[in-house]
Amino acid sequence: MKFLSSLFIVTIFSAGLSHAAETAPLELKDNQAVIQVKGVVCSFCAYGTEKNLSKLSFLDKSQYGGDGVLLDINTHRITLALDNSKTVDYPAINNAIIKGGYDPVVYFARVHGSVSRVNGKTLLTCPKSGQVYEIKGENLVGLSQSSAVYVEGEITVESVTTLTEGQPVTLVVSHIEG
Amino acid sequence: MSYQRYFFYSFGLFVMLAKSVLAHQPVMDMAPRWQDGYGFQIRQEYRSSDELFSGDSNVDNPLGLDKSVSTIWLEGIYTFKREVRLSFKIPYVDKKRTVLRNGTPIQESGSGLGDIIIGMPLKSYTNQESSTSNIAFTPSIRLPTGSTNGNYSPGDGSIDVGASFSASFEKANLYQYYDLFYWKNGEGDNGIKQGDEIGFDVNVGWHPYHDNLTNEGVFLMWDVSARVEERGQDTAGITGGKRLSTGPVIVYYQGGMMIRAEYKYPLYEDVYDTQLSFGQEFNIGIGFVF
Repeated sequence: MKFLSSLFIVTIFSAGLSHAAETAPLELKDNQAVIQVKGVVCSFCAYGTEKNLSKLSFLDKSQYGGDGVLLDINTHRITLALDNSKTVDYPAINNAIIKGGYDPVVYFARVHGSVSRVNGKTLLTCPKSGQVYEIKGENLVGLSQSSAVYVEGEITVESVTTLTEGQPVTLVVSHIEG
Repeated sequence: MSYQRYFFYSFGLFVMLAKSVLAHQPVMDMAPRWQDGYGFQIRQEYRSSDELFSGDSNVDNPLGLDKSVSTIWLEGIYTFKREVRLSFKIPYVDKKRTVLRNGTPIQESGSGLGDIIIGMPLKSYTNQESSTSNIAFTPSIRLPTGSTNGNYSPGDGSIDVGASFSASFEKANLYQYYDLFYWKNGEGDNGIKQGDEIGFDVNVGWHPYHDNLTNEGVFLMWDVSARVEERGQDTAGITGGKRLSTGPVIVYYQGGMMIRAEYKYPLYEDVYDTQLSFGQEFNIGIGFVF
């Protein structure tokens, strides 16, 4: 009984600590993609996920210990250092995480590019990689054609899994600069 | 010797000598959970005893009966997908004992490859925002690959089948693992017939240190193991009984490498007839996943 009581106390204590970590604010930097992933609580367990991700060709492998992947077991987020001259294959990221044994929840990205309006859609084209995002959100009102901006926002897992080649990646904007 | 030095040497000895309690989970329950992942582990298990029990009572051992068993396990695992794995465990056994033959204590020994265990862990994972858990069913078979020559042979010549039901729950700073298993032991050579065994293991661990950048960290765990083995027979006499063991486990990992050391002490034993205690167990292993 004493053992069970101790176990209960440890569980509650640990739950409290983890909750504090989960609410850590997200600070997006240029050339990064951050993925919130369910179940990433141990790097030894997620070694295969990191290995899968590190094989992706569009990462900046000079970052995060030489593989361009940073796993944070306290926030349950995976940060990828991106090579801004290459297009980001979001479905490949999704596949690498799922094959690694985990479930992506949402992607966060900070993207630099110039705005264009095509067929009623607002597009953002990255100058070096040529990658195109369709940006959505209430804060796009007043955004002028050809302006160069940094945008931050979320990409849903659903939009990634249904993405076809050549189609713009849908980014729901939360913040615009520039 | 100063207290600090005594503690240092004791801890060093512990780290050097210390068995994976995860009897059905080569490498670790934790990994590899990724598709096409594989891993192997080498671990040294050592136990010895010169304590004699009659039922649950410690009795005198004037004839100096004893035993020691040292086993080096080579364990491997392949993950087809996160729900299906295949594992093997091959022991190299070196055993010694002093037993009574016609009223005279005789030393016996045996060494060589033991009986291979093949298992197929089938898992169902649940990933939550800040935790992951799984339940697993693992059917296993132990094949008579070990020699049965000599009085204290590394193999017993029987085909045994087992099954385990396990559950684990893990957060960034807490690890819990529960495993209930059963071995149906067959009839071996030389009159050996180990009794069927049922066991329950609990591992509760704390994750006090982790570095996100280097993927390096430490788990500190506590293990409790309960075993009930039916009355059986080996070449020295009656086997079987109940025991409850407990002890600490320390795990250090870095990337895909893991070192695990463990000590277990028998808190309670109740044997059939008169037998040597199961003894204290030390275990140390190193595993790699790819």
